[in-house]
Amino acid sequence: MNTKTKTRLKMPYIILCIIIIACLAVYIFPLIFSVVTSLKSSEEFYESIWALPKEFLYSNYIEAFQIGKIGAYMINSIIISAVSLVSIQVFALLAAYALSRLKIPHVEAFLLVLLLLQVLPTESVIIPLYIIVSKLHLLSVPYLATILGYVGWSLPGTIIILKNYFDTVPIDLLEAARIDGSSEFQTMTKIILPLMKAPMVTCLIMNFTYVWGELMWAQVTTLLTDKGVTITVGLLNFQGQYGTNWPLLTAAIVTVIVPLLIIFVALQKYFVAGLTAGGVKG
Amino acid sequence: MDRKVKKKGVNRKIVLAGFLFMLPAFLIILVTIIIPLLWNIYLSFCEWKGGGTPSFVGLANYIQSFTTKGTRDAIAHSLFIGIISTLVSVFLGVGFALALYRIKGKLSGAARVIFYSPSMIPMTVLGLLFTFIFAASDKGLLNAVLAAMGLESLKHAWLSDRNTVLWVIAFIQGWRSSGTIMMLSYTAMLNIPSSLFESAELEGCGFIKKSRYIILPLIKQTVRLALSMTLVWAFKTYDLVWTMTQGGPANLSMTAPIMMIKTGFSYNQYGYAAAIGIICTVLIGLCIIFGRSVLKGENYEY
Repeated sequence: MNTKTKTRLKMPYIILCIIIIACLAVYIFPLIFSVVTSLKSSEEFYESIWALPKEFLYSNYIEAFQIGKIGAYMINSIIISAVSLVSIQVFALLAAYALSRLKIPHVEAFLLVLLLLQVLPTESVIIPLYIIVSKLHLLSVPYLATILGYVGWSLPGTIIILKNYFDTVPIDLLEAARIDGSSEFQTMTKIILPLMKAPMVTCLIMNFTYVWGELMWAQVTTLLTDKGVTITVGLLNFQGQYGTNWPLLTAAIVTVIVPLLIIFVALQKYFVAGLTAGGVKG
Repeated sequence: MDRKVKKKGVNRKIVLAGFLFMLPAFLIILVTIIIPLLWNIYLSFCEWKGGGTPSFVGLANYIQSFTTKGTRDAIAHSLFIGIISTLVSVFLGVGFALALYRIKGKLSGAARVIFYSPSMIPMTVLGLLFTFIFAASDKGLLNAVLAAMGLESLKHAWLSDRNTVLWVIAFIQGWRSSGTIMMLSYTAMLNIPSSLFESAELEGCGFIKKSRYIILPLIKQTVRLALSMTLVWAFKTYDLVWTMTQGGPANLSMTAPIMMIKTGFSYNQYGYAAAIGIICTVLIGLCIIFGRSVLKGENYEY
């Protein structure tokens, strides 16, 4: 942009920046407020919700972890997320690679079905799936039923996104590898995957957000057991127990939010790159 | 001749490998989506209490859904939340994306992370946080802020007032999805080649004109995709409502998914619950078709 337009646009530009900063403040304020509240004692909070804590009180966090079992719920959620995400990624990569590069007939039909399945709401499958997993006695194995649902429901969308990226890998590269005698699996792991970092991170973040935050299926699969209860279900139990003990509740909220934000900030460069390169279109 | 046979053989091997690669994903999708979906459609025409064989009752479950006031209301609430929150999220999301595209630089990068962050945070956590913000007592953050600004008269029992509870939920839902829309629109804008702006700049067009005539038409496809996504999410509002009100007070904020889970797992009316699920699915489909046709028009390739 040349200097002339720059000076002419200066005033609206500054106003725009101010509006954005104001919006940012509104976005951040509840989080900051929660952090401050979580460091107060219950009495302090009820005296005045605005006052800063007299001394920083870590006991809410310790209590949330020990009595509220937030730590145990977190571990369950971490196990479920890790297994789900790895499975989704591996199965989706294999299928997407096949659809994009392994000369499957009627690819368009497969994609159309995947697209339809992707918009299908969980509501339409959750009750029968619950009956299936309970008939197969999968509910007594901790984590398994929960993970199965997450993997299955995330696969269609992930396959579509990854397939679109595989399409951008030049086909000559594959032909060259084949001529050199590399097997299809080797070609995929050694040559293609290194090119796929950004889209993989994008899918990873999207699926992680879903799996970590899902409530309905997590609740349904742990109806009859207290093993493998995820952080979302756990938080609700916690709320049921402690009602309006806001300092304690905000401590639990902050414990759940902060790791997520750290992960996102660390990966966001890839995330944006992945979205940009893919040119997500509908 | 020999080469041709060989090539055919290689091709067949590749296709075989392809199907092998697809097998695990296919099996899992079959078990978790396709079989349950077909079963659900069948179940929605049956009466079934969870044991024994389902007995076929025809359209009775569907008729019951539309004639029972509670269920009809729940579906209407879901539609309301879906429409309002989609409007909120598209407005906020595209607006923020345009603003960030305009201001560029460090502030834009930081703002992008912060505006997107609600989309990362689980709904249950946001629900708890907003229960705190909208709590009826003076300890509710919003009421406290209003009091501090001297606007005592605006204080509300936000989550138990029939005039506000659905709006509050729809707004939170939309606010959360706006991050995703912002991210998708913003990245779509980055893909617009700068050469397209050259003539507009020569003509002395301001940013508002550029947005109106160049940027928005070019990202329409992305917005359309985002629109369907947020509609689906919003219509499914289960976690947010469950955390904040559990459908209460007195079913004022009952949504279709909560109704379905309660009908199924609390009252063991699986057939009826299945019918509610199918109705939701069809309505979401209709909403998406409607939303896309509103935004239809030419797609520009660039």
